[in-house]
Amino acid sequence: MKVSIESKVKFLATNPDLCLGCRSCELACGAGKAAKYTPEERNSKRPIVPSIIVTQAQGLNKKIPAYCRHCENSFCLQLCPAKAITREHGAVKINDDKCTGCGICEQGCPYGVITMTSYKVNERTKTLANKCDLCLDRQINDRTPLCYTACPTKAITLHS
Amino acid sequence: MSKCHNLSNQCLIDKAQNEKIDLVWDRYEKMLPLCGFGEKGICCRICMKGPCRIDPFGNGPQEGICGANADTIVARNLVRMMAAGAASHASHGKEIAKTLLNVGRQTAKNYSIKDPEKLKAIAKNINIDIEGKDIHQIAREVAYESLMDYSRFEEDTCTWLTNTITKSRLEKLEGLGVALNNIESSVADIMSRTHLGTDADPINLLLAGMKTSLGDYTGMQISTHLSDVLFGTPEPVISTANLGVIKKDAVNIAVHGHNPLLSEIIVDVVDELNHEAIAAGATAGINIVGVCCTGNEVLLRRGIPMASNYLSQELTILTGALEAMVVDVQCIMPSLSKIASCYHTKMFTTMPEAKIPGATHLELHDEHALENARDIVRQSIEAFKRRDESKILIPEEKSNIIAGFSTESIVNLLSKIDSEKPLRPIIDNIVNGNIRGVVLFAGCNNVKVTQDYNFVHMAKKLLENNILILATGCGAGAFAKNSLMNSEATKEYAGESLKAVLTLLGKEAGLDVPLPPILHMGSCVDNSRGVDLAVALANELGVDLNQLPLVASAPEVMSEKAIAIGTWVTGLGVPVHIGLMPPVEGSPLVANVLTEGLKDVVDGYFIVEGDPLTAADKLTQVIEEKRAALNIPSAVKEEK
Ligand code: SF4
Ligand code: SF4
Ligand code: SF4
Ligand code: SF4
Repeated sequence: MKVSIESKVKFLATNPDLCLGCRSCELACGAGKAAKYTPEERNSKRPIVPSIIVTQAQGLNKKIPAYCRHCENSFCLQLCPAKAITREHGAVKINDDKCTGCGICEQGCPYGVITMTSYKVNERTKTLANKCDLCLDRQINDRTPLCYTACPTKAITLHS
Repeated sequence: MSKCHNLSNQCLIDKAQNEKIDLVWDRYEKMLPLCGFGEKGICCRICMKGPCRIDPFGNGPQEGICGANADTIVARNLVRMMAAGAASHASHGKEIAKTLLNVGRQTAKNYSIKDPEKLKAIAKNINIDIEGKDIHQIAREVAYESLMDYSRFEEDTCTWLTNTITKSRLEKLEGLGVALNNIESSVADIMSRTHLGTDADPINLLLAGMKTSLGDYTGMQISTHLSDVLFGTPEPVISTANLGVIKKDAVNIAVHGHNPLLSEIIVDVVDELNHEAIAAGATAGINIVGVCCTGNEVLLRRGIPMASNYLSQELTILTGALEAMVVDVQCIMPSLSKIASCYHTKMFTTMPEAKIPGATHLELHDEHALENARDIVRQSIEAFKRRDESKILIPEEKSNIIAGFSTESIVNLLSKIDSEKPLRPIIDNIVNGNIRGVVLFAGCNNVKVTQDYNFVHMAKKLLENNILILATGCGAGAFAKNSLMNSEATKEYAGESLKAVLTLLGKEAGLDVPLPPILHMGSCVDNSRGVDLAVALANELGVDLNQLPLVASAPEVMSEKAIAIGTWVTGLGVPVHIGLMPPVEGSPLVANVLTEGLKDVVDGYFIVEGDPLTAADKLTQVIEEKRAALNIPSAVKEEK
């Protein structure tokens, strides 16, 4: 059973030549994340950060979507002292309840696609790492990742 | 990429960074990436079924929900930009025309007719009989006839279009059905035909765009010439430009925007309040400085120094020595009021249609104009007392400039050489190749280009090739700030034959020095002056505008007004260079019409080229082709 799920989880690829920098992917990803926040997280204004980030170098008319590669030998997974990062169905995933916010994964990621955010819960600052989880919850229900779905030019594609 | 070509401004950009104040360049960086659908013009927000986006790569949707394709969407968006540009220039002209009407009715107590001769000349030009009429009656009739261009319902072509271009050009435009009868209805026509489900034919849309752009032209003609009547026709004037014009020991007041109705009032009340500023400790009294086109207006007519053009407007406040920023309409960054709040600077808005949160609103065009102007100046003097000395940093650099080249003043100058045919010396020198051609620089700054860089580099190369330059708007501001509008610039940058002509003209005209190589013709509405000169030359030579060795350039183009201007310039038959691609790439059809197809219809067309040196070469090339077609080959310098 597990095997069949794993085989259907797809990874992202992008073609920067087709990217127009509309940030629809960012918007969809961020909205998807926010929809999963608990009422407490919402009350304490947990920041919403998309896991796909569209960048444009100044003076260079090229837009590049940056996203997690779910590397085979993931530095983030290996470096995390709290063992908060695991691989599930092929995706490298951060488990919020274990993350201590130390930021080591952010520093270790060669693609710069892990973002640290902080917010206050009961007067205490809580810091968490955020990254792409391939929209696992959608994929295992036969739905495509949000960023892929939102991209109007098909600059984002899926592959196994 | 550096931010400003003029390095003296850099210290203030650094200062902003130290003080954690965001400037236009920082906001741009934060905005990246810019949305490519908007950049290419293929995002439609015209109805609420959308917004719709067309995938230019062919994978995603090729039609909006209503079925509009990329061509329709791009054309609709573009002509809406033209209509907005036309609306802004036209309402500027309308305000001036209404003021002239009220002066004629003797109900506008703060304004008068400063150039009655020009008023009579206009009346003659637009076929108003002035025999036995007093000046106020002529003013009323000229104003009425001008206002007809905003309200006519008969199909007759606008007065200010008919009487300001060549006959053959007028016939051509009338033949195409784009010679409009009414400026405001051309704008309304664009809004109505671009409503969902109306005009879907890109060519039909673009023709309507040409028509409303000619409305922009007509509004500009009215603005320029009726302003001359009310405030005086510019004469050559010596002044200075760049942030160094702000004085440490003065109450500094910047006037910014476009409409001289307001700035003139401020300049008027300064003399009577100067002693109050001195009493407050400002030993140099009150110092008015200009920003953007309001700055150009008061520079040309009153010799007021120019502090900044569009992109560096925020830096005037960063000097810490600006007591007030007084603005009217257009090109005013809303960021100014927030930046002013970090300083002692007071910001004043003055027009009912242009309020900015955080600014104090005091209107300057109604019956309270004078008392409100005094109030603004007095509040500025109060602000001077609150200056924080530790925050003052005024860049030292300022350039000497000679400005004020209206068509009339150029003709006056030249008539000292040939009083019968004043344009003859220019024509002779164009024919014999001493002047190879003319480029009119206009338009804005754009944060996507190092400020003024394109202007300066294109100009230097063109001058070296003996091409004479005319400039308006923020283009003129760029040249003024960067020392290209004085006699030294002629010596340094003009090619040998151009230098000789400018030196001779300067001497014969009774100035001791060469004329500057770039002639400052005024604000962006004063592009009409460039047309007047070109029309006079064309008529003298017996040719149409498209035959003249003349091109226009807006190398740092940004605003909707610039799109409208560029379009009517092509409509008058003159090629236009733009340094940035307008939002049309999403429709190869529309892009091709602008850069190619237009040529067959109106002779003018757009040349898109981002690199200033390549652009200068392309324009030189066009000029050479026009010379060859006129059979006046270049006698001077071979192409490198
Ligand atoms: S921030 Fe969280 S997920 Fe990243 S290494 Fe530290 S504990 Fe692990
Ligand atoms: S796959 Fe899901 S989580 Fe990953 S970037 Fe796309 S939308 Fe975000
Ligand atoms: S949605 Fe697609 S085109 Fe838009 S920014 Fe993301 S990857 Fe680029
Ligand atoms: S007008 Fe047509 S293309 Fe534009 S938003 Fe509406 S449905 Fe979409």
